Amino acid sequence: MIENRTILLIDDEPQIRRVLRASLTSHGASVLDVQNGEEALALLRNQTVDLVLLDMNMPGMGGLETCRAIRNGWDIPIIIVSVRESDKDKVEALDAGADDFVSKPFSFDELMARIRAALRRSGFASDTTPKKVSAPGLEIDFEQRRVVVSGKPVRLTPTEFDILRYLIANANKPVPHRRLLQAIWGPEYGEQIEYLRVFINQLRKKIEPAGARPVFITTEPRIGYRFVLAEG
Amino acid sequence: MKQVYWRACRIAAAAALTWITTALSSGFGLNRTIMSMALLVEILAVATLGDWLLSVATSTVASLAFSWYFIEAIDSFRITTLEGAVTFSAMVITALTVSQLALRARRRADEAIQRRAEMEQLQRFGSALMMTVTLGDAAERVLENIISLFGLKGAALRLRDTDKELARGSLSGECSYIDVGNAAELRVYGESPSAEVKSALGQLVGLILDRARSLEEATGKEAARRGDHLRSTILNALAHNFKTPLTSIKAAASTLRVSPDLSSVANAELVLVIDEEADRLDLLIRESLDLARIEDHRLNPRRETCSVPDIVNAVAERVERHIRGRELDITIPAELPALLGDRFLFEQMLMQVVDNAWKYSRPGTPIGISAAQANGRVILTVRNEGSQVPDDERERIFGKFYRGTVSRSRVEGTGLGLAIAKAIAEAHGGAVWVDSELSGPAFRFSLPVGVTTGNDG
Repeated sequence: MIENRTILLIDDEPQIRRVLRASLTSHGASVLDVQNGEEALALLRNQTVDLVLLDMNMPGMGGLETCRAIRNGWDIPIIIVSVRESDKDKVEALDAGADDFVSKPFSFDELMARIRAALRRSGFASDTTPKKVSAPGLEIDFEQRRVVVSGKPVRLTPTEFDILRYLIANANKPVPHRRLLQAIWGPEYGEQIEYLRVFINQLRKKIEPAGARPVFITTEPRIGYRFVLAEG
Repeated sequence: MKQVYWRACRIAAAAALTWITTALSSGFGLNRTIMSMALLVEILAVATLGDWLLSVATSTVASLAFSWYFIEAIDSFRITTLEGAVTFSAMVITALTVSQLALRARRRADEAIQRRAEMEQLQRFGSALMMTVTLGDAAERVLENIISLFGLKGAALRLRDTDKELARGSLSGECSYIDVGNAAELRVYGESPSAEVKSALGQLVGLILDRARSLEEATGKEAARRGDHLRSTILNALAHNFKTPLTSIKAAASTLRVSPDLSSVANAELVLVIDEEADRLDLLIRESLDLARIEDHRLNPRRETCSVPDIVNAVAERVERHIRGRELDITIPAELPALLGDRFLFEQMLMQVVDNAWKYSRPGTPIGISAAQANGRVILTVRNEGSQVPDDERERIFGKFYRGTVSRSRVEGTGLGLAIAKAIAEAHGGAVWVDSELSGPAFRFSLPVGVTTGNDG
C-alpha cells in the first residue's frame, strides 16, 4: 500500500525523524523529512508528495499553522502526530484541515494503519455512486471531482469529497456515525464522532446556502447524517 | 499684666468719652430722646467691637451719665421715675445682649479659621500617605506624619492581625485613642486634636491601612498566579519531554516487532535510537527529581536574605564537576545588595543558565559570571563564547521545550532549563534576557534588591 509512495515527515525532533525514516523506508515508501513548516512548504512547491505526517509542537510557524498552509495549497492527506491528545487538540487539528490525528507515543503498526487509511481514502470509489448529481444550487461531477455551488466552483479536500460521495451514495437515508467513519477512515475507526462533526461543518460551509438551516446535509439526532436529494 | 492694663485703659477711655459726650450734649440742650438713641448706638458699637466687660462698663456709664444730665432730678444718679429705670435697664440689657451676640459671631469665625487649618493638616496627611504600598510602610508613615502635622509628642499604632506595635516619638503622659476601624489601634500622646479631627483622622488612617493591605494581598495573589504558571510550565514540559523519547523508542521497537525482513542498516539504526533515547529518559528522570525539589520550594518559598556571592559560589561548586577543563571567571563587586527570596530557587535559576552556557559554547572557552547593581536592581550576567542567539530566537529560547535550531541536533538537553530559569526569575519579580556581546551571548538576570548594603553586612 505505501510502496513507492512519497511521505513527507515534518517533525522538529531528530530522533523521531530517524526512526520513521528507517521504518517507513523499509516498508517501501520514500521519505522526505524536514524539521519545520517553512521547510515543508518550500519542499512541497518542488516535489510531489502523497501524504504528510505533521508534528503539532514545532518552533517557527507551528503544526496547526503549517497544516492550514498546506491545506490552502494542496489536497494531500495530512496526518497530525502530537503528544497532545485531548479532544480539543484533535478538533483544532481537524479544523486546521488535517485528515487524521495520531497521539504520541504510537506504535508503528498503528501509524501504518492510519497511513494506509488516508492513502486509500483519496482513491475511494464506489459503483453505487452516481457519476453526476444535480440539485438546485449544487452540481457535483464525481468523475472530474468538481463541485459547483451557485455557479461557483468549490474546492473540497479528499476527505470532504469522500464523505460527500458516501452520503450521496446513500442519499435520503440516515447514515449512522460509525458506518460513515469506517467507510471513510477505515475499519479501525468508529468512536471518533468529533471527526465527523468537524468535517460535516466544513462541508456545510462549502456547499450549503449561507445563513439557512442545512438543506443538503441534515443531522439525524443521535444517529448520524442524511443527504437530502430531491427525487427525479 | 499688659493685657489687663490695656483693658482697663480702654474701659476708662470709653467711660470718660461717654461721660464727656453726654455732658456736652446736655450743655447744648439736646433732646432727651435723641440723646438716649445716640447713647444706644454707642453701646451697640462698643458691644460689637469690644468685649463684654467693656460694653457693660460703657452701658453703665452711659446710663449713669444719662440719668445725671437728662432725667428729671438733674445732677443726681438717683433713678426715681419709671422712664429713668426703663432707660437704664434698656441700655444695660442692650449692652449685654449685643456683646454676647458679637462674641458668639467672633468665636464662630475663629472656629472656621481653626477648622480650615485642620482640614489642611488632614489633607496634607492624606497626600503624604497616598503613595504607600506595603502595610508596614503605611503604618510607619502614618505615625511620622501624624506627629509632625498635628504637633503631637508621640504616637503608637498596633496592627491587630499581626499584633505588632509601631511607635514614634515619646509615649509618656496622657494618651487618647483614635478610632481607625477594627484592623488597628492608634494612640496619640500630647495635646489631643479636636474630636472632629480625630474622627476624620481615624477614617483616613483606616482607609490608608485597608488600601495598603489589599494592595499587599493583590501582589500576593499575583505571586501565587505566577507560581501556578511555573507549575503548569514544568508539568507540560515534563509530559512533552517524557513522551518525546518514548515516542522514538515505541516507534522503533514496534517497527522491529512488525517488520521481520528489516535491512541490517535499518535494524541497527532503530536499535541505536532506542539506546540513545533510553539514556535521554534517564537524564530526564534525574532532572525531574530536581524539578520536584524546585516545586517543593515554589510551594513553600523561603524568604531569606541571599548574598549574591554565596549563590554564585554554590552554583560554581555544583557545576565544576561536569564542566571539567572550563574556566569559571567570577566577578562580583564587594558592595552588592543581597537578594530577598528562596536561595535554593536562585541557585537553580543560575545553575540552568550556567549549564546552558557550557553546553552551547566551544570546548575550552571560559564561562563568565558577573554581578552588578543598576537602578536598584542586581544584574547577574552569564557569558559564554558560543554562537550568538539569532534575533528571532531571543524570546523563544526561554519558552517551554524550545531548543535552538542550530544546536537541537547535537546538544543533549531537555529544552527545560531556560524556561525554569525564567519562571523562577519572574516568580521573584525579576526578568531574564539574552544580549549579544562581542565574545558571545550574555544571559542577564535583573532581580529586585531585597536588603540594601546599609542594613546588610
